[in-house]
Amino acid sequence: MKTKSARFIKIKQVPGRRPCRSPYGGSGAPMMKLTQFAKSKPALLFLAPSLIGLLFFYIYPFITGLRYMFMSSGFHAEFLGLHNIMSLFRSELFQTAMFNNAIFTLAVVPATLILSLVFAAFVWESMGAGRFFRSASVMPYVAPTVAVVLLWTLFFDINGPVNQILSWFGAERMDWVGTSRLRWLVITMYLWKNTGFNIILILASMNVVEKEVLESATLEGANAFRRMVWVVIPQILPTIFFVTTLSMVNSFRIFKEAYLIGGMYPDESLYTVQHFMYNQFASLNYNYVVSASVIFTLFVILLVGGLYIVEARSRR
Amino acid sequence: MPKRLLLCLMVLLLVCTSCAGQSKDVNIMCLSVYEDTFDAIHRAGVARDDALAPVNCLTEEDYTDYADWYDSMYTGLLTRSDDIDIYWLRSTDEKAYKLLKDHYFVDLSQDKAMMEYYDAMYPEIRDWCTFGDEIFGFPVFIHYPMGLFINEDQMKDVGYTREDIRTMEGFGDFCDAWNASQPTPPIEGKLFLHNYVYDYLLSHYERATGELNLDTPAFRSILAQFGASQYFEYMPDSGGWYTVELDTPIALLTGTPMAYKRQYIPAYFPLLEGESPDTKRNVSVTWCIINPSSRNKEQAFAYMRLLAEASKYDKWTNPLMYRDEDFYASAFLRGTTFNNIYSDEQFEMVGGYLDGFYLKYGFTGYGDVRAIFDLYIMDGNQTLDETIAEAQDLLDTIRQEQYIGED
Amino acid sequence: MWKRRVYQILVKIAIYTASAAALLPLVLAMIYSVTSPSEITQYFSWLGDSARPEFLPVKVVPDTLSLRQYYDVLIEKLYYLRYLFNSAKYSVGIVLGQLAVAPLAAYAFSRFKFKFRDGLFFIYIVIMMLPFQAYMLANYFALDSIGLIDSGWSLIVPGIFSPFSVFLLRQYMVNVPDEIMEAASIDGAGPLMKLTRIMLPMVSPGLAAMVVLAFAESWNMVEQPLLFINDKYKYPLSLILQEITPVSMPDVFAAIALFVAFPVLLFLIFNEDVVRGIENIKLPES
Repeated sequence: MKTKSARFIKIKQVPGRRPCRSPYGGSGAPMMKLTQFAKSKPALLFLAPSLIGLLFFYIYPFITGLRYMFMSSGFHAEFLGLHNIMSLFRSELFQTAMFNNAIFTLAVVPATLILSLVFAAFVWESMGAGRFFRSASVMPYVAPTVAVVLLWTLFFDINGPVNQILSWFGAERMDWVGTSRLRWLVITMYLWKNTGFNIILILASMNVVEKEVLESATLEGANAFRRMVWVVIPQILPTIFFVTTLSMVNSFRIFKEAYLIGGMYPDESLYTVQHFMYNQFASLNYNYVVSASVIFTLFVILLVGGLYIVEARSRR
Repeated sequence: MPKRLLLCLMVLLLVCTSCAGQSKDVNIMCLSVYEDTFDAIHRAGVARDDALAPVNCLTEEDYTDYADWYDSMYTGLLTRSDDIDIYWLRSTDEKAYKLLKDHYFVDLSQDKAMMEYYDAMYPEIRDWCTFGDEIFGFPVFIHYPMGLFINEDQMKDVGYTREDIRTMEGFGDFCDAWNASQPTPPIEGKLFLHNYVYDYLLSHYERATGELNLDTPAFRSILAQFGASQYFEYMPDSGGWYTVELDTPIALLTGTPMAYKRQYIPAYFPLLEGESPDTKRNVSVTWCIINPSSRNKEQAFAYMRLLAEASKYDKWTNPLMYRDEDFYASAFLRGTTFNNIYSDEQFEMVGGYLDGFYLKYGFTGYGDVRAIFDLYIMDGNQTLDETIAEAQDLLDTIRQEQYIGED
Repeated sequence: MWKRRVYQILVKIAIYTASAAALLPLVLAMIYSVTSPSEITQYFSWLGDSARPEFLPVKVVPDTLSLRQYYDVLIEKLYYLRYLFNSAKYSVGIVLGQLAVAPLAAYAFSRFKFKFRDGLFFIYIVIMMLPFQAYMLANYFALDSIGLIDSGWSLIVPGIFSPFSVFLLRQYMVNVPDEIMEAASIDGAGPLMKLTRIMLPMVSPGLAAMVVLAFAESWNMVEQPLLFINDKYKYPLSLILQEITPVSMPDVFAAIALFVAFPVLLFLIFNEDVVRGIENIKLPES
């Protein structure tokens, strides 16, 4: 008699891979709630390697590093309280850096959101082209940034195709690389790399949209745009919020692009808080490094906490 | 009965471990670079029971390249790790001033034996080792990048004196005259024209505000004079004062020759066109400093005393540290002999020259700005204006970074 | 009705254009890597030249094909290969390490209930979302205390503990139905056996996704080597390429093509799995 376990061991696929009728791709199976949990003791054992590593490399040194924020530099350190953070905010260069970070985030997040929604809608509408597009849009995400820096510099060159396309619309030839317009080059690179990721996320979430509502909307004469905006988007709001938050925290990773184009002391428009932190580290001003990293951390904690709250609310 | 046995065993164990602790060797970690230096100390036959040698102390000296351990060193100092007992620091290091200002050193003036050496030094050199009121390190290497070393006798052979080569023109004339009559080149080692630039950078940096203005006529004239690089033709390809033997007729040496080239006395680099004769020249010093977080300070001090004593030994030291010949003669490292280095007159002359050198610490961005100008001098791809603008930009950004909250 | 047809065609065009845009830089890099070096140098000589009156089109079809650049990179100047090998070392090390560590932790988070589970996972998510600079000092001190600074391990070891993989795998593991795991329990399987014999095979698409994404991320590593490694010979190719680009442009394209080939090939093989992996990214339900 075949035992149950032997039968089940032959299963190779996660249930979500069952072919489903949804033409949009994405996993059709709903998430199953775990009703029973095993005893907790072996859990800690399994968790141990990962947790120990995190504690040793990330958490513990972060906490012990906090003392740099509150103490003056110097062998005979004095307690300064918040003086370090205050002088950090007072520094013009740090303000510029924060400003640049904010500009990047403000430019990148709405752009990626809109682009993702638009293209997700397109894929949804067209059946068939979707598969290829999905893979193609994620390809930039796995390609290393350094490989494309050269080509993007080529595209945005003063004689390059971007200027050419703009000239069809009557704009003048612009110097992208030598001036503070460089940030648009960095933004474009970043969007190119990360938008695909968000498109996939949004597409996946669109599966929860009830088909009946859509069909009735079509029957009532709503065009694609109307359908998208009034039917789909309200239903995928939690995901939109999630994607927005994800983009916000991901926008900090713009440092990679900025560094590969501009180096450690780039043009003023590219100088971010991350540049600041690297340079302060190199000059042994650990107090500023820790202050800035604490600011980042608090920001992310707030964002993720907000996400949790929204997620919980939307499930009600 | 068993309880008593146990007690005896415990006591025995305690006694053994404490004994072991007594005779345990203490290793002090000294981060340094020059192998010759410490070879000299050890080869000078310092036995472990010598009065000067640290008892039961071995040093681990890291002879590798600065770059290998420098970053770890900074981190180790700032995290108050006791791994490092002694470290070397160069004055041109970008972080030198910060380390000294933040007091990552031990005041050596507490130690009477060390003070003997400092009292015997030329006052200028002693000042170069002082920060605030404290003496922070022992100078193991003093480098005179803007110093020439002149063999006056050889110069007289072609009819020139020390004064004649004070200007670049005079220097050029002398070189012509020399080349006409002598088989060997007039000067050994590259005449580092870059040093003029470095000197300007270091001496015009305002420590209080972080400002360094490059767009001045003086600086422009320095850079403009290197465009022609007409002085390179006088330089032989090989650099390396250590290859010059005592009898080789070479009138001028750059850098810091070993003391056994005793007939060489220090002078200044030739003045550039437009420079005032009162221009001082920078000197760069490498000190040996004790880490204040070290747990083996006693042994570290003993090591420093050894180092100081060995500095009287002329094979590796800078030729111009102590004022008095008698002080050199009192060197008593086992197996060493004192070589007569200079005459009394030369001792005095040296004192006068030292007065014209000054010590300036490096600053953040010094390395990057140097690189920009090195490229300009060697390649000349950019125009002078572009180069100065680029460097100035960089300096301004760095200044804003570093001088936070201070207006 | 025809309106809809037109609309559909327009949408298709838009999608194909976007796909092309997404792939264009990579494809161009490939094309340029087989273009003859002299053509590349000549073509790129107008970069930044503002005096040129007209625009230069993007060269898509090369005039002369040549494998000379690959020859240079692979055979003549082995310069690039050393850094490519460095990159490979680090990426493989990180991926293998993650494979050893992350499934265990994901299993613990998904299948067990223990005190602080949700709080801990919140911390994992926060760390996952932080930019590198937020914890760079922490990493540096930890690595310095064990003396790993300036060695390749300083790149590998912290990367092994990246929370992203744990997060990704957990999403998959949560989807595995209870009944299967219960059945295995009834049959007497212990937790380790359940993990290795049942869970892992079932989430193998997730493992594939994790491997590809982790590989791609570590292949792209720029900030960590900048900070942790001083010796240029240990740099991965991702940093070196940026430094040498101005000097030898034609070779660089061959190097780029080689460099890009690895993660892209990996992605193409596990295409479906990676896309589904991304789709699975959601916050945990509390």
